[in-house]
Amino acid sequence: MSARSKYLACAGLVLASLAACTSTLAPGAVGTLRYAGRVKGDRPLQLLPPVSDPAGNVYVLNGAPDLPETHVFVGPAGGGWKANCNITKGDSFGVHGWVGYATSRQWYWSGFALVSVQGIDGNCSAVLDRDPSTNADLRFQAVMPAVRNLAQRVTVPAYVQSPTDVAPFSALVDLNNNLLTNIQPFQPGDARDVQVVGAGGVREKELGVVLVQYRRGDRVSLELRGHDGEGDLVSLVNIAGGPYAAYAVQGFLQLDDGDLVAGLVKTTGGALELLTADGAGGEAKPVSGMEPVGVHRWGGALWLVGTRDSLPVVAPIGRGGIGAVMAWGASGSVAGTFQGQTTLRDDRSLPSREVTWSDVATATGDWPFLSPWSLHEHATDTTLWVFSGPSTRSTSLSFTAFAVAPCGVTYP
Amino acid sequence: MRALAGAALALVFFGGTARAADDEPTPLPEATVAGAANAPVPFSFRQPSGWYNLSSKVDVSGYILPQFEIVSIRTALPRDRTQYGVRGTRAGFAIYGSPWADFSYIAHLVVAPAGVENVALLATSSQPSVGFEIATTGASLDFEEVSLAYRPARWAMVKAGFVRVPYSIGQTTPIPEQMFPFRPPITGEFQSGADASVIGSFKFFDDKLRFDLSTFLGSSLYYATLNFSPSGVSLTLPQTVRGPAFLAGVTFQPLGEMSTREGDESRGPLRLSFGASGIYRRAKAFDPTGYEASNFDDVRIAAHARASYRGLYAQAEYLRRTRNDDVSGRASKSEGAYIEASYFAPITGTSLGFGPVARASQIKTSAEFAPRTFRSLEAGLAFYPHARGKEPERLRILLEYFLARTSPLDETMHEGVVQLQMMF
Repeated sequence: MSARSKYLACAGLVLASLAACTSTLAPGAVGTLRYAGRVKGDRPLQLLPPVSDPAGNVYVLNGAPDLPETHVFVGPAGGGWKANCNITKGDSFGVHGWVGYATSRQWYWSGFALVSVQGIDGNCSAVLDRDPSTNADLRFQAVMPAVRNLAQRVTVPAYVQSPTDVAPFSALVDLNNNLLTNIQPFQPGDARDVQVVGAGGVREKELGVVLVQYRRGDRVSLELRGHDGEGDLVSLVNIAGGPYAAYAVQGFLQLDDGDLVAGLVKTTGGALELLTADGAGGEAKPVSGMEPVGVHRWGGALWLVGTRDSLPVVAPIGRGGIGAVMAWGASGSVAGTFQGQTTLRDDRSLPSREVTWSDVATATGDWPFLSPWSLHEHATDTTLWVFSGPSTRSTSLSFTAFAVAPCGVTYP
Repeated sequence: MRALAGAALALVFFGGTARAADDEPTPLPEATVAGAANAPVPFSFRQPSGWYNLSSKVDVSGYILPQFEIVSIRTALPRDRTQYGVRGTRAGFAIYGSPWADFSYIAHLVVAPAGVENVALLATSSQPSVGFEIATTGASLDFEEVSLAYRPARWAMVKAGFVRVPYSIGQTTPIPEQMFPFRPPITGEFQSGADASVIGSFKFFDDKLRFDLSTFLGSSLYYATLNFSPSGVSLTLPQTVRGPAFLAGVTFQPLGEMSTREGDESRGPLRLSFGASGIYRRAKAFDPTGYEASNFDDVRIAAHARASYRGLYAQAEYLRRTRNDDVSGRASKSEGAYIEASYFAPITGTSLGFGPVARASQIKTSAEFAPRTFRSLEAGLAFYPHARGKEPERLRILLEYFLARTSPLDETMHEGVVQLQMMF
């Protein structure tokens, strides 16, 4: 072999070693289904879109805003499932949603409880169920889904209230030390009947928002309040409309990469209206052209998702409302994936094994990805979704098996 | 602790007597002095991959690295916004030699004394996110390298033991040969510490081309996961990984073999080095109960370029890793690079010398999920009291400023370091 040939052979070896695999799913493609567990009821199940953490652990929340029950399923990244968490607080409201993550941890807000869930073992604990200094019962009236995971501390802004307080306090929750810091009283001080209509936030922007309604004398105000990563009030915008019931916003309020905030809010008459706001103000308007289900944030933009003629559709949200309503191909593709028998990975107990289900379909909503809660970005262009399997009935209760799978997704 | 100190002193004393018995350290032939044209770099604890056979059966060397640092992180807890301590202070001892022709050994131990206050730092990875206040309650003893080597032919060498595998050049540089008090911060995301390994090294074309092949256990590949609880933070390995790792690397040094030192205090002729390496591992992960949980593939690549000329030294490295498993549906990816440079200049008319050093690095971790970018900039000035000596780097005082910043969550760390390095 000549010297030149040897050099070329070496270069070839180096280039071969540079090749690396990619794992991105095509839009509408479905990855490996993991059998997560069984929950009460028949399809559609009351499940939120699954979320994950940086370590790859998967979390599924069983519950609904009007159901004061919660059940968490945790699938560690390396395999196995745990389902030993069911903390909620109060009997008026149920699950509000997942509010953020740190390494191997997720937090959810249910009723008036903020709950920390460990990804490694699925164990959970209520954050500040009682004030450690006064032993007062603490109620999380709002938790902004903007957990800030810094090198030295993990925090989230929230509104907390004890039974003796006439209005909630804004505070920064130290999630490592279970402490409230930067506690600020609600302003104006003479506000009464303070009620949280909805909350939202974006981790990357270190910004959370709360849609809050209160009475001052005979006047009812509706305001969108922004809080930064330290919990400080940084913006206040008056919103036209209302009044609304507590937690009338479906899922969370969503923020785009600019200053647009949007949410789907239920009126006292039961209709769903699209609320949009920016720095100048905001209002809620009826939606035409689709039956709305929720507002999603994906890729820094906001989308209204729903159905039209019983098919999944999506429309971009801008300052003037929604744009053109389009068919949501990714949702339809996922729904059409399952024909006949479907093989799953059952790793509820290890070692994992394969099982087969028939009649697999989306476990929640009419179509895959149709949820009041925004989809979770599990990997590049990939989200997680829940699929239902066989149901069993014992006496008066039925239980339905469900699985989680990564799915390729795109918003048109 | 007393026994440890005694052992350390005995080691130093033994090293002194070993040298005394040789009267003078065995002089290397001129043609084998590092930096001379086409000369193989001699084997020593500072050049553990060196090729030249020592004639002494035992030699002892070491170094003392006391250092002080002050750290400022505005977003930390109030207690931790300003910290100071002596993190990184350590002493290294190496015993090495060639008891028989073609065989050599080395045992390189690093001792960090008790009472070293740890300071909180930003981490390159998104994984360790909380609490670096792990109290050091006693001296720590680490094995930097414990190995045996055999050279069956002039062009071949086999080494076995606990060794830093030749993947990242920044991770394999011996401690006292580093440009800065700490290794390039991003490299720890890809490789960390020594590993149980067998390495075959092969040289061709007058040592200008070198291949390394290795199989190793994989403990240096960073699979640890932090476990959190309201009462504190602990480092746990929730799963046990089984499966050997394989490495292949190539280094091309067209103008002759280069020292592994990150600097050119010898002010030698032009030297260039280009290299690339790759690691492949296919392994099984077992959960704490001992049952198989998942399978994964881990692919890592690294490429480097180095150059030195008359006191000027530059080094750049690119690293990347991708791990795919059959459960999570998400690849774990990180990608980073750094560049560093130094210059050594004796001060005319004095025995002193000085040298500016600088390094910039960037890493993007968790690329598939909530990407996090870590950027750092280091700049410093080294002083050499004996710049006219044969090896000025044996005594060095380094002043360093370290700036680290993360995004999208904006965190900034400022750090100042003073380090004294003395080799013996």
